[in-house]
Amino acid sequence: MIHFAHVTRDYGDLKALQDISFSIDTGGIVGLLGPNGAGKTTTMRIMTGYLAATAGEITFAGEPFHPGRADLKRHIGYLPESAPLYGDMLAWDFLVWEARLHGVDPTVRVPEVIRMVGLDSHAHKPIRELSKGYRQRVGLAHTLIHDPQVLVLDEPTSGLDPNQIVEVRDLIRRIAQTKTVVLSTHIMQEVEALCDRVIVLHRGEIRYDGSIARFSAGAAGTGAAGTAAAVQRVRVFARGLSREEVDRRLRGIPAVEQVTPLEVPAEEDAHAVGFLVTGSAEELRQQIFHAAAGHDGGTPFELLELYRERTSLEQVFQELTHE
Amino acid sequence: MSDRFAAVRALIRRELTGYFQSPVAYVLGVIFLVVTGGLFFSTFFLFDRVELRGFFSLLPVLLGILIPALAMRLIAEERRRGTWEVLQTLPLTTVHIVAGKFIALWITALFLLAPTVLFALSVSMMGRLDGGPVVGGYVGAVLLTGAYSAVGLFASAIARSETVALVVALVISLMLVLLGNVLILIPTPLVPLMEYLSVGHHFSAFTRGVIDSRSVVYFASLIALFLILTTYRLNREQEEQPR
Repeated sequence: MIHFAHVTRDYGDLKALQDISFSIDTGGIVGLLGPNGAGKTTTMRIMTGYLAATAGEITFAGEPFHPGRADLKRHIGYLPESAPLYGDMLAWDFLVWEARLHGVDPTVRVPEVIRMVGLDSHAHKPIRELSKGYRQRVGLAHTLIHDPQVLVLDEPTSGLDPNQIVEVRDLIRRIAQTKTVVLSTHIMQEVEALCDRVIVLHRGEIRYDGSIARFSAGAAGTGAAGTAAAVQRVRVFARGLSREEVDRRLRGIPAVEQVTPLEVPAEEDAHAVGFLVTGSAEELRQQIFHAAAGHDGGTPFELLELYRERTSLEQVFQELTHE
Repeated sequence: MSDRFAAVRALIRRELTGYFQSPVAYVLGVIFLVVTGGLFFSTFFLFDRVELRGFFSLLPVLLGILIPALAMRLIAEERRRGTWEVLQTLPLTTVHIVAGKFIALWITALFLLAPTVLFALSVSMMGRLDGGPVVGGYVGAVLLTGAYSAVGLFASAIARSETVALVVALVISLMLVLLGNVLILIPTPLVPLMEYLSVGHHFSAFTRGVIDSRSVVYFASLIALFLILTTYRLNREQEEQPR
């Protein structure tokens, strides 16, 4: 549906986006992740036609997209960060005005959208008098008023209290049942709770583009297509061979990328040796097991522990976006 | 196409609501009426002539102050509040936005000018008032208001704050007036050009009851020029906008 091909955006000498390419298909929630200044908001602004790209091609449903394409903008609903809305207007009046701008019948659509976002009791209040949570609902109603195919939400839960965060997330989940949602966030738990796919940006480049499952499994290194291979970290405690010999055997496993010695806990066998093994194959643990069993042609050794470390999302994020 | 007109109409309605829901338009309107009336009638009885020339001669300067004050919020305030980003991503082109805001400003300025018709009514009660110069003067005032509105919108588009927008619009508007008042200081070969560029020169023709097509073209050109510059500026901003 939305396709970015080699898109670059400069702000004077600063390269905010550098040759990024990705496609977003219909349905699901895509999370744009990245530290401050990574290029998330710029990406969203280009995606919604607020900014033009300096170079590269953007298409929406196969058609070239740029800020002048008012006809295509009607298929997108955009909520910028902190929901800047006309505070002097009543929520109801604001939505009626937007409906008219979109050429939609306000008498039908406004009550529908207000019900959808749970704004019923607050619709006739000035927007500036609403709590942040309700303002965010008005913002979401604004993105939905013309029934667009894609919703682009810049940090939709930023500044909300925990209860409001839960409510807004539920709302986004419900919306995503029928529409494509692209959202940016700093919050890893939000990514885990909401997103099907994650695109990590750092310094204007894509560092990871893939499923949330693979992201949660750990990711490092960037492939040619901008997608990272899932990396596993496995803790190995063994005995029966010298530390040097076990180290050599582990390094001989094709999928293994790195072997780091570990201290053996006091409660373990005095002859045990420990290693942290990093590799990129799904069956890394099986390969280590086969090596221990002597299937690699070497002397078998005993495995006391073979444990795959779970990497936190924050760790993965840090690995992907470290300097 | 009709959708686009509906969108521009909705935009105009929103801007008009913005002006008339706040006290700003009313306060400026009252100040404008009091100052104009005060200055006009303070000299009216000295000349003892049943005419509105004195009133119309005040308009280039007074509208040149009133309209920048009305216009400064149009885009600069939207930028400050962040709503500009929302507006730009609605299914509107820059031309729609510029047209909607310009028309709303022009209507508002004319609404504030309208009560000055009372001056004409008052003067007409004192003797026979020649209708030609009055009608001509108001036609000129409508065009002058349009030109200053286009200047004000342009200033609001190029400025980062409302105050800067006000100052820029004041400088441009009053420069257009002053050009006609400093001809004596200008090298002779440049006088016809400066005179042609002066707002006062063209406006005074209307106040004599003459609707000169060259003056109509002049005001239409000023409006078109500043609207095109505004559209160009806003489009460039989408390409080059600083962070």
